[in-house]
Amino acid sequence: MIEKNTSDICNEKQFNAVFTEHSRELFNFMYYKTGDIDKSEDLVQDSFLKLWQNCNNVIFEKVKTFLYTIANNLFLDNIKHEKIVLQHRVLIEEELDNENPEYKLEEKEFKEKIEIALARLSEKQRVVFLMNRIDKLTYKEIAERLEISVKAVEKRMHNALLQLNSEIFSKR
Amino acid sequence: MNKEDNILARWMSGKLTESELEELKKEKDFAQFEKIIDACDNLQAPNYDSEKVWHNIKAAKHKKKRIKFIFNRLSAVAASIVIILGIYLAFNNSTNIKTLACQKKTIQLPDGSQVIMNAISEIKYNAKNWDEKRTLFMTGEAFFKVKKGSKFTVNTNHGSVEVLGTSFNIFDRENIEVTCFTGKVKVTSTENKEILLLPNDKIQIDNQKIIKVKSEELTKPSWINGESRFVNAKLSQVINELERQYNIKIDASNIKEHLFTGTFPHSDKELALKIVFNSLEIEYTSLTNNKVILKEKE
Repeated sequence: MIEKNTSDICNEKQFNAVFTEHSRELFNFMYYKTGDIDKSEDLVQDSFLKLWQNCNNVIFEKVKTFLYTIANNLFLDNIKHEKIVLQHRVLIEEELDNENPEYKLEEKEFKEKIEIALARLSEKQRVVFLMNRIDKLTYKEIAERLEISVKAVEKRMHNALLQLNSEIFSKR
Repeated sequence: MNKEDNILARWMSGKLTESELEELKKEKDFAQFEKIIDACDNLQAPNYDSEKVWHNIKAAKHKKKRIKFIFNRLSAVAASIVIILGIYLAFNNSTNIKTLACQKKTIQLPDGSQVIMNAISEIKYNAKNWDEKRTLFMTGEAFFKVKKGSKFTVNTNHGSVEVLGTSFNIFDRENIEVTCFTGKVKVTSTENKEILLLPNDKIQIDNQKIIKVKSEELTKPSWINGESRFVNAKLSQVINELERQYNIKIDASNIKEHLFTGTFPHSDKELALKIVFNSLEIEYTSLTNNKVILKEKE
């Protein structure tokens, strides 16, 4: 049974399917850590190459965990801690009721503040928070991927929102 | 705020009981929390070139050499190519707007046409080539006021609607209902049947059955004014709308089929439940976890 499953990943077609299923999510995971598109793409690439090299030793059911662990290790090995600038594309959305220019400026400023505040979160908090808000993963799904408890995910979510709130709204 | 129970985390995942939610709403920063979450939910991760990455993996896979890590290899030239590509993709990408339960949103399309979205609805369109092709995709319910111009097409899971310049409402959930308010609207079902609607015409397509009815003379759908109006509607449809407007779950498993005619408001849950269920002689009980249980009166 396990014999059969392990050989599956070494099959080109199966490997491609694994890539299609997980690469976007893995890219986002790396992007939340690094804030750098090129680095994130490189890390995804190297993680999948590692998976390919180890395709005989990885059980199919463990592929996701393997990829997350490998990507995280590669990230730790290779990234010197740099100031992270996350550039999220913000959807253009115009609320008709509030069309005056002052409001728009306020909106724009608010979005900028959010981006800065997100970049200033601790890496652990930011990763969990964005996996939930952008990738819409549940706390349980995040916990499985990061191999931490659901309680720990909740704690990071709770503290991330408190931190964002004080960063954005504190009067200085 | 008690830090131990991670109340904000449970709030963000919609797991608070009604009493906990009431407590949280009293926090002085609650409006700020909502504002942050609202803004964060509109963020997207940047574009990701998965084809390029796959191509590189395929190329490297067959080399026996140990993989070298390739950070910092980007020359200035390569970097500028990536940036140009990034911007191009960003503009080419589609705009996606969603509403949650108990939420309505008014948006303006690039040509000035207006869309008012009801709760739990979604529209997607491509802003980049909007002038060449006024086409969008929607699910849920929305009211359109289209500026005169080239053909304007709305695609849904249950058919498509085409107009030149007019106002109309589309309800695309269990079935599809299109109501024309001004101008002319052409509806094409998934079986490619075409129906032309004039003002105050309304059609319903349900399991490939097309029913054309005259709607009441209105200038816009009632939901835009904060109420839902039904004429001889199945109770299940009314219940679904109540659930969307108030973010509640209604258990109707012990209820037989009813037809409802009437209007309920979107701003007063107790009144809305009273209007719908009292008129049908149904008993209802609100539980704390946003659930409502129905029972036929004996």
